[in-house]
Amino acid sequence: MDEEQMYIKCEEAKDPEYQLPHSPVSEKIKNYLAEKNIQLYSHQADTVDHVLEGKNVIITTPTASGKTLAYALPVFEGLIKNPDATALLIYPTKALTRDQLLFLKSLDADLRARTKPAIYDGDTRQELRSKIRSTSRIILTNMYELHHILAWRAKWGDFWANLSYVVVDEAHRYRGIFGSNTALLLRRLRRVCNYYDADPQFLLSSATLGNAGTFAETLTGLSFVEIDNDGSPRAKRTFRIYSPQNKSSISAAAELVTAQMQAGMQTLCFTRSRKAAEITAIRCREEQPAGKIASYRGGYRPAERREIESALKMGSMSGVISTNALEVGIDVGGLDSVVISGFPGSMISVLQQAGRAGRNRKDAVITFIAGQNPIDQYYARNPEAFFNAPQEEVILGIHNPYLLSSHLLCAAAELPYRVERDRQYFGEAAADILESLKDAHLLASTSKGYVYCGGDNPAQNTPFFGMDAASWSVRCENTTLETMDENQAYREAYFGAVIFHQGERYRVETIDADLRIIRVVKTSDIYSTRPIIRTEISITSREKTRRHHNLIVNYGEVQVSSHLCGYSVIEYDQIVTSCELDAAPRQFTTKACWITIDEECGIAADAFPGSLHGAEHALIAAMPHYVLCDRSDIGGVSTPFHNDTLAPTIFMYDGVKGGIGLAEKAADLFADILTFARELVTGCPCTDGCPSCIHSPKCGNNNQPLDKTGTAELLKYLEGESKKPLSINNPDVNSYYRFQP
Amino acid sequence: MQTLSKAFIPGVFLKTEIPKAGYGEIPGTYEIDTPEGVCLAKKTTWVHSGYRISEERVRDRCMRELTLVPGIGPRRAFELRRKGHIYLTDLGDTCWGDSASEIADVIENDTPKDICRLFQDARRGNDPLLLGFSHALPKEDLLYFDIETLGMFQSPIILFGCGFWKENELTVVQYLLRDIKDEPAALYLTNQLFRKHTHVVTYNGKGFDVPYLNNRLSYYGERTVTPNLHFDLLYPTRRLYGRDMPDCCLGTVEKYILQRPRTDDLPGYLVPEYYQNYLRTRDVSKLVPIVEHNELDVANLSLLLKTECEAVYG
Repeated sequence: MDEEQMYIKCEEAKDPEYQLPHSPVSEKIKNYLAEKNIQLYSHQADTVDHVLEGKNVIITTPTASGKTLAYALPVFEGLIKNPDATALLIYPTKALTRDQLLFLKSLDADLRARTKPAIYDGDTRQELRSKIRSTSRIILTNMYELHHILAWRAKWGDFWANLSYVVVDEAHRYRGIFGSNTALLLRRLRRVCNYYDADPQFLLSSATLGNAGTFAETLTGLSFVEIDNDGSPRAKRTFRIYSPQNKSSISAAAELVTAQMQAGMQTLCFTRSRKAAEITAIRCREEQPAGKIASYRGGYRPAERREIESALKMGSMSGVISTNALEVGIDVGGLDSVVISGFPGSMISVLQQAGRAGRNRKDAVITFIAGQNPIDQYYARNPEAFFNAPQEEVILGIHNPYLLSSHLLCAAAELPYRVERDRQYFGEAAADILESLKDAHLLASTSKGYVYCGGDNPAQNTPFFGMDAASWSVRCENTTLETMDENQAYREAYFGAVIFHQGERYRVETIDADLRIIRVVKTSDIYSTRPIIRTEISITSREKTRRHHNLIVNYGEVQVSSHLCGYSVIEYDQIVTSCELDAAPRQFTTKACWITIDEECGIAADAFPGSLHGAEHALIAAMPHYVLCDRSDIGGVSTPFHNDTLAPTIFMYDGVKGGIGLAEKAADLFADILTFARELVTGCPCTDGCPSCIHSPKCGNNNQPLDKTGTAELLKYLEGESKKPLSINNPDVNSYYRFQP
Repeated sequence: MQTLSKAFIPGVFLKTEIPKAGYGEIPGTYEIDTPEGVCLAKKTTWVHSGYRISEERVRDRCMRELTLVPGIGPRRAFELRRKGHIYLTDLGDTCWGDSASEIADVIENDTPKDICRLFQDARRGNDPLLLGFSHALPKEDLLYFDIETLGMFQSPIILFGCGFWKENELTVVQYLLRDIKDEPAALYLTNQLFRKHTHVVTYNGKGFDVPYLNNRLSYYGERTVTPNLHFDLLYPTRRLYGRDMPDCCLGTVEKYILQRPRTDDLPGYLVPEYYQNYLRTRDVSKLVPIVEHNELDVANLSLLLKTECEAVYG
């Protein structure tokens, strides 16, 4: 690794700040702290105080600052004081849940609190469930499971009636679409508890956010106290930003991980995708003894994942290549080094991933390897921007009609829905939706409120949460290798595709759509495959137009259909051949913003399609920065002639059915996004376009056609339009025309 | 085990129905007012020949069940019987004497519910022997129960079929929802019947009808029901006739055991579809086959129970 290509920044060690809680805590807790010789940090003491005062709190101190103890102490205090009280702890991943259970169990034993902490999720055995419901006072679960548990309200009556605390760990994860879904789910939980006259307090822990308070309020519908006075100590950490030249980021990551492992540093490497994790691991394995390195990601069988986690913690595994599945607070011990291969989509994730190293006050090295995509390269060129990025804001709303109607159906199946009583949870927008659900014979109006009367389980039909049902399994001979959701299956497991699993390659042989089984065989070929997906879009309705001076951005409903028409076969990063496939297209309705481009914008006709396509890629690359989403939450389409607008058009749409406000926000911030996109393109030294500016790693057309010069010109032109005063020559905007003679 | 021909005793089975004007096209229906609203009811009466077993006889048969004693399996019981240990009370001088006498005491003196619990502890809670109590206890305490639903566990019950004895007639009362808003009223009426008749007779009611009813009651914030004795005929039917039939659906049982094959009957799985169709179109004719199907289900429950008791007790 060439030192000259690296930017290095050190973060000095920091001393702890201790504080005693003002509120009186029980003897048990006092003795525990004394016995274990624990001094509370300032933010922990504050959390205890606020919770004991009955407030809802959100803790936003950094990773490894002792947030778990901060919320666990007041919860145990409450459960010790009231022997009937119960608490529900919600974690984003099963792996984290298992990790936290161990901590809570030991705390319970030390405090002799008799809370019997237990996990209740999809993996909990049927015969244990009823016992956990009736005897455990601390139940750990996840949002998916909670969604399904609520349907069995009657069985959980005693637990809900005594529910005093709801802990939501890693709350910043509930952002975007998933966040809106969660916000509605938590409102359903509150509604059920209130029915039993219980009014639980909410304790949220989250990464540092720009808008933690409002975020917590939107997520739960309650008011919050924000705790951010971090009193924890910190080890010295060295950050490096590395932009590899003449090689892919995967090769660079593999080389760095290998070198660090050989130097005796336990290293955790984060990649952006499942496939990247597998390929990086394969490259590392070439030079490492077996059993020293593993890949880790969602979709693996739980036992397999547990094995890797514990090997990492024990130190017998010296390198793990993971997707963001290991990003959340699983205690994998104090790692020496973290490699972040590619910008993970948000600065929150960067900090979380970096926080995996340097626990236990051990000095740590964190390396960010810039990938071949516009954002990564932007940070590589402007490293200061990487460290001074503004605190991110999390967006979510509860007014998405698709989500709202699904959750209203679930709510009505849990308890009759009373408009006056339940307005406080779901807002005024619910009323219209209830009427339309009634007209669709999914709800019926009774003297006790709206009652669910559809023919299937409403919990299964909720987007995101109902997904279990549509899980596909990948099988090799008689063993299940992994599971994937329908979308992943469409894009990754088409006929002929090569799937990676723990360093082995498998080729898809048959797909059984009825049983949702993908059969694969092991292959020793060294090629990989990439799907060719053609995306088409049509406008259903234009809902509003947003003017940025002379630039008009439209916003409305569109129908997107993606069609898998074939795949490319790739060997050594080169496309060798392409195969055709005939798969049924997948369609969905969503919200989009789009701009049309005047053909007289000054770009040569032959360069025009490439410029348009390049501009779309640059805009899509810039958008996550302004609307805070993952690049995979949004999609883009550009075309030199669109049937609905009758002009050259660029669309940016929400990747989820019904939309979640991403395109809407992009329409409002379009001028800023344009400027950012233009800087990405003009700031790139390449001549014909490269992975750093207008090439998209996700492009369905293999990045063809693209024209760098034209893209820069087009973006400059659009940027100019967005800053130019309103022109009277634009017929779309103008109503002065009528008054002209 | 009884053979089919021996088990079948042609009962006198007459439906005594007085056709009345009713809701739309459904003859014999009328509205009932409750504190929870109004729902539609239909009453029919059925007559079939009586059958009684004395409670002593049931207890006597239970007393012969040596396998109720922990440690005695079918083979050992067979050997003990061969040596002349017929009753539990005969085991006094064996090593099982103590537990056998405890069990014998329960069988002799305690309530039928306690005896059922004894069988449950021996993992024989659904033993056909226990059906004897249904015809030994006052028959006014029995409630024959069968529901029709919209298919999913969380959706409403659309028809509650209840049967009980009034003198020597079996009265089948059905509470039907004209609209989902009638469900609280129908639940109220059904709940009343469960309070009045303490033992319930069902076909797969332990797994389906009763938990479903309780789920709906708690959905509306009402108290749930707990029958004193629950005679679920599915398990005894499996034990007695399972080998002679392709499956144990109630329809199959009616054909093979009761020898009353149904003609023009609506298959159970179409009920949700028919009712949804009615909700959309308000075409009352869609309800008629549902009501008739359920009525026959309830009436046949009583016949099946009697047939099985006769098969066990002769």
